Amino acid sequence: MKVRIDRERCQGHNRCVDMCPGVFDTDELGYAVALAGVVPPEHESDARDAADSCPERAITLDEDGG
Amino acid sequence: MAKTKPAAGGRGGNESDPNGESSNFNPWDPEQRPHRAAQFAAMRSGCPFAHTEHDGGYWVASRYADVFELAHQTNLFASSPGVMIPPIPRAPQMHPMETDPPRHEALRKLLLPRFTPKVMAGWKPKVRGVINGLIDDFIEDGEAELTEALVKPLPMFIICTMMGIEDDIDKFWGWIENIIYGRLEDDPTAMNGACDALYAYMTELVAKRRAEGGGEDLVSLLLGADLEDSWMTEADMIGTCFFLLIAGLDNTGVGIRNGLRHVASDAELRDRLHGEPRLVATAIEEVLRLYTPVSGLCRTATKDTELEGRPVAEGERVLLLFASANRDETEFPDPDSFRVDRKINRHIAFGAGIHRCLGSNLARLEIRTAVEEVLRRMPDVRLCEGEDPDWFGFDPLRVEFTPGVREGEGA
Repeated sequence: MKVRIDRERCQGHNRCVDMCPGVFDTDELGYAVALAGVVPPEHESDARDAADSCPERAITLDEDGG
Repeated sequence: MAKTKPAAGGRGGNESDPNGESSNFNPWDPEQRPHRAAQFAAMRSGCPFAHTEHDGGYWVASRYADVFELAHQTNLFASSPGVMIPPIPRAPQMHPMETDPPRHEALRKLLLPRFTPKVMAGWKPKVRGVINGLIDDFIEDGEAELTEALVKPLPMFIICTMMGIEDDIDKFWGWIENIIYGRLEDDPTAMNGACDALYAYMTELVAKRRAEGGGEDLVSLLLGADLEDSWMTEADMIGTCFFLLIAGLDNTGVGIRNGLRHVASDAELRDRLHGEPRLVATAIEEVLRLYTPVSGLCRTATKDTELEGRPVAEGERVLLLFASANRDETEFPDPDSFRVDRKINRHIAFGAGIHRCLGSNLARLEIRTAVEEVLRRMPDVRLCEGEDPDWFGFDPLRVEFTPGVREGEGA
C-alpha cells in the first residue's frame, strides 16, 4: 500500500498523526508528512482509518502500490 | 439569559424557506436550543440554505458538503468583515480568524509552530499538573460544580501561561463572558464595557512587551517577527492578542465542559473509558462532533452570487453551521447518537480550509487530559440527581463521586 499526502489540501488538522503515528508525522508548521511512501503492513488498517477521517480528504492510499 | 428578538420578517414568509421551518432560526435562542438536533435535520432535508431574519438577517448553510465547500471559497466568502453572529461591535479585527488571503498566510505561519502536536505534547505534564491541583481542591468533598472548579480555570491557566499574562489571570473571565455571552443580550452595555477593558489591557500589554522584548510568550513572538513591512498595524497586533485569549478560553472551555458532561451522564461509557483509557481520544472526537463548541461562524459574500439558485448579494452573510454539518446523515451514519467506536469521523468541529482552528491541538490536549484525570481520580463520577445540563456555554455542571485523597504538595 502506497500513501500520498496532498500538501495543497492538508490544513494541519492532525487527525492522521493522531490515529496512525506509524505512518504519519507533521512538519514544523503542523502539516502532515508521510514517514515513508509505502505503508508497513501492520499499519495498513490504521492508515485507512486515518485517510477516511481526514476532514480535507488530503490522503490518498493506493492499495495495490508498494 | 438571552432574550429572543422578534423576527423582523415574520414567520414562514420567506420564499427560500418553503417549509416555514427556518425563517425564525436563531441558534442563540434558549427556547430553540433544546430542539436544535431536529431543527438542524429539518433544515438539511428541507431547506439547506435557510434565511433567518434574526441579527440583521443571514443565510444558514446546514449540510456538511455545503459548509465544507463554503469554508474553502475564501475569495467569494470573506472572513475579514467579521465571522461572529451576532457581532462584537467594539472588538478589534480578530486575526487570524478574521483575516483573508493573502494577509492571512504569514500570520498563520508565524503562529502555527507553537500549536503543533509535538509542541502540545510537551505541555501535557503542565496541563495534567494544573488539572490535578484543581481536583485536589474538591476531591475530598464527594461533590463539585465542575464548571467553576475545573472547566474555567484550566484553559485560563494554560492560555495565560502561553501568552505570558498569568499574573493577571483573575481579570479575564468576567470580560470574556461579558463579550461572548453579552452579545446575546438586548442591552450592549456590559459587552461594550468588557470589550473596551480587554482592548485597553491588550494595548498596554503590547506596549509593555515591545519595551521589554525577547520573551518566549506568544505576544513577544508576534512583536518579534519580521513584520516591519507587513500589513500589521498596532491595532492588528492588539486584535491578534484579543483573539488568542478569547479563543483559548471560551471555545476550549466549552469543549472541556462538554467532554466532562458527557462522561458524567453516561455510566456505561464512563466505566468503559476508565478501563480502556486509549479510547478517550476517539470518544473526545465524538464529543466534538456531537456537541460542537463553536456551532457556527459566518462568511460575507464578496460579490453577488447564489446558493443553489437563491440570489445572495454582495455583503450578505452566510452562517457555516458546523454543529449541523457534524450531524449530517450523509456523512455520519446514525448521526445523533454518541458512538465511542466511531473511528471514521470527519467532523469539522474545528472548521475546515485555511481557517481550521489554530488551537485545535491545544483544545484536544486540554479536553482529553481533563477527562483522563477525572476518570482516574473519580471513577464513579456522575451528574447530581436531577441535573440535566445543556451543552451550551458555561451553565453549572454539578457532579458527585466517592471522595478521594489529595495528591499534590502538602496533601
